Amino acid sequence: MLKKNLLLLSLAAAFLGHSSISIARPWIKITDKEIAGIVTGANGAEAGVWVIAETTDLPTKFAKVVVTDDQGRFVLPQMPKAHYQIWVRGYGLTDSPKVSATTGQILNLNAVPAPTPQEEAKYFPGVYWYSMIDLPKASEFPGTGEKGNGIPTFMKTQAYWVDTMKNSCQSCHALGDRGIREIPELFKSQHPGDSFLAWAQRTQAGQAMGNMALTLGRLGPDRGLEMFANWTDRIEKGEVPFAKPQRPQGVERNAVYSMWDWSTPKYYMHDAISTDKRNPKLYPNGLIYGAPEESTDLVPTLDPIKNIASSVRMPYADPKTPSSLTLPKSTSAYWGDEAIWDGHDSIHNLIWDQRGLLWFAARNRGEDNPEFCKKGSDHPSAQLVPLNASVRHLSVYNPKTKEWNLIDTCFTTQHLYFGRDKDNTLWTSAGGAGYGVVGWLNTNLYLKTHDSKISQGWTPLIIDTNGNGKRDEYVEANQPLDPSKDKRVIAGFYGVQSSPKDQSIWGQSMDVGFSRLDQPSYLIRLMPGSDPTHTALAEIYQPPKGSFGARGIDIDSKGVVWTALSSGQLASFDRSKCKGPLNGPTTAEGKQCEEGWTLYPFPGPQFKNAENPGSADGAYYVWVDLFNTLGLGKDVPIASSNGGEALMALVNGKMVNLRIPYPLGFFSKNVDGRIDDPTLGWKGKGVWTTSGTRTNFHSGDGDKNTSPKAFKVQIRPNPLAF
Amino acid sequence: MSQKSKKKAIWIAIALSGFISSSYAQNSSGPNLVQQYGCLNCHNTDQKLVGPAYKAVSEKYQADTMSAINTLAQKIKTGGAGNWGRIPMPPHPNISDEDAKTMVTWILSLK
Repeated sequence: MLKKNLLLLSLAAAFLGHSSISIARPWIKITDKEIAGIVTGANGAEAGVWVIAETTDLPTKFAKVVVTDDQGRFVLPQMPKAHYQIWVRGYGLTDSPKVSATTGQILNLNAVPAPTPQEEAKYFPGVYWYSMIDLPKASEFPGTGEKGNGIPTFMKTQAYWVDTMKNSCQSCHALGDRGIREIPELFKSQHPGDSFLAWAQRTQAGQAMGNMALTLGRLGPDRGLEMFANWTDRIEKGEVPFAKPQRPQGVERNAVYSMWDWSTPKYYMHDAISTDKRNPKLYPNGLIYGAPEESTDLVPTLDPIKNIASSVRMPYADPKTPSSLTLPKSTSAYWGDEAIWDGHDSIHNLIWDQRGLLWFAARNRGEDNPEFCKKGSDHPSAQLVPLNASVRHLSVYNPKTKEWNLIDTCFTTQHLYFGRDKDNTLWTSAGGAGYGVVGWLNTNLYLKTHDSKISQGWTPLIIDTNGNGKRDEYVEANQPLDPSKDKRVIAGFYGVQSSPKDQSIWGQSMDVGFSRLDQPSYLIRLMPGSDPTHTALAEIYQPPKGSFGARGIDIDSKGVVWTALSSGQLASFDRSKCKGPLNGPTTAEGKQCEEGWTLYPFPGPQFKNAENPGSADGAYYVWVDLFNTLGLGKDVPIASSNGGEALMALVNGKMVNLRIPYPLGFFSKNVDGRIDDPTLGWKGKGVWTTSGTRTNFHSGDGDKNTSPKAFKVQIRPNPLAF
Repeated sequence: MSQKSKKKAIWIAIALSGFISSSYAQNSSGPNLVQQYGCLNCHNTDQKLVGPAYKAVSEKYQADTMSAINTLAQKIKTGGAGNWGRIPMPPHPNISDEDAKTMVTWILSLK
């Protein structure tokens, strides 16, 4: 077969030598599962540029992206047999014309230099555009209010403002992407020459109008809109980013990115999952499941072997469960007055266990809690902290039996991770910092009894401020310290993770931009004890001075905690480095142990008038590759960089920038790695993620027909391995 | 009771007995509705957010609450801009006349 291919290629080359793409004399022996080639430009080999191959021949749209080596050579490995459109993308270039090819072919591709700076910058990650935003100067804080400088008085420092932009605006949008930095014609035509009003209009478009308004209110609506309007006005006049990204280098060129369409263009994804984090060899080659958050009750699935995208409908318990369909909205530039979301379940996050069950943070009723959650209940957690309302709960799905169970929780859920205990405790985060409790489900007990009341519990976050090493009576967060008591902190987990090192559960509480509370972000170590409702003790740790905005959390095998900071760094916190006391009155505010932190700036420019060092980039979450599923090593932390449009891995203290260049505006909220076949090396494993933006139609490569994507990322031993 | 307060009390009494529907029978219906319809994303009782504070609206229209109830209920449904800055309030055509008036009634009762 191989010899036949080579013969045909040689013959074809003799006839097609005149083409701008030609089938070249083979320099590499490939099979019918690869496509290879060389990219050249005006100055010879084009190193570190992307070659993108896309096909619609398969049951769902599929694409693969690789990077050229230092001689401009590339190999697209593990390609499903199909006809592909192939083109070259890279910094300094504009997209080359698409050419047709099939698996088994070897190509010569011509790179096309970008004719203008604007054309060149089209392919830059969003952070390069986003960093052009002219922030209010640090000296303008604290704001002087509506009748002063337009910045609200509660916006006390520039960091508050930056955290709001990153952890509120950028929570959902790939800021800097084309759909953001350009104002749609609809809004321009409604407000000719008035970009302020065009921005006001666009922030009211669609069913997220309420969220957008909340954020604008925090920035000071006029001041916020002026800032964004000034930014896009300058871009419309031709201004381009003041910094340029560098092409992939070193191991970054070994990456292979595979992409599948899933779900529909009207919906969006929050997360995806492939296996049990504690054992990534589970469910090899199985379906990938997604979490479509507010957009639909249809949980998307992807069969990456057969390239089939499908879905499973999640039920909800109460017919009166509210739907996103009824959210207020104004006219969208993409969807007009159509309400495109109809999600009751608010499916935010999902996780596999070792029993073949898939657990979801999802809503199954309205906000009013059942009586057992409230004051007067005999539930031990409710007796300590009664809970009247919760906005999201738990669901569990058995893919083999197709059975759903909806679990009514008193506490609100958002992210989920399993403990490493005999009860298979599912620990949850709540999202907002104001929730004030951490909730869990004893899944063994639940599966045995199906009794959600007895299987759940929650605890307030109590700091051992009297320093006696145990949980005692406590004063509330708004009360002064009492030397005989402990003290409560009102915080809520956003990220949640169990430590592989000990029995501690770690969480991370959001900063002011997301929480809308005047308190910093914390890492929180919760040691549950024998009866967590009554024994759990918390330690809180603020990011070090000059940094802020912890978001997302994971823990490596040595017990080092990782988070992403909205000040623009990936950060580690090693509790074993702490020199001072970790309990007692001096720990009430979490200012102890700055020595435990190490900060690693994200690549990419910082805002020009930012007060603090760092990068304009931010990341939604961080995930530690405990089992080297990616191929960059065990314990490598990977941040879902939202401005960098990349997975940002830290290897030996240096950032490996895994930019996913297609479709533009890659925006991930989580990562998950799976080993499908440990005997196949890099080919038998990879990390999975999905597009996490709420607006896939903002992609610089897309329009309203752009579906969410599932991505697989692999690292080869070299750029030509197959 | 000040003259202003008396006038408001009389107006509310008329409202309760007349065209304001039975939904007003619950004192909390106004607050419930503004929450239910997502109004609180843009408005706050005491402080300007994207839109004006409800108390500021109440103060502005105290001189003629009777006509304000219809004007503002209509404004909720059709949207508009200009009275409180340049940022427009989007239209809310799905809100019934009855609910809009209930919400305005509650807003104008704030001080």
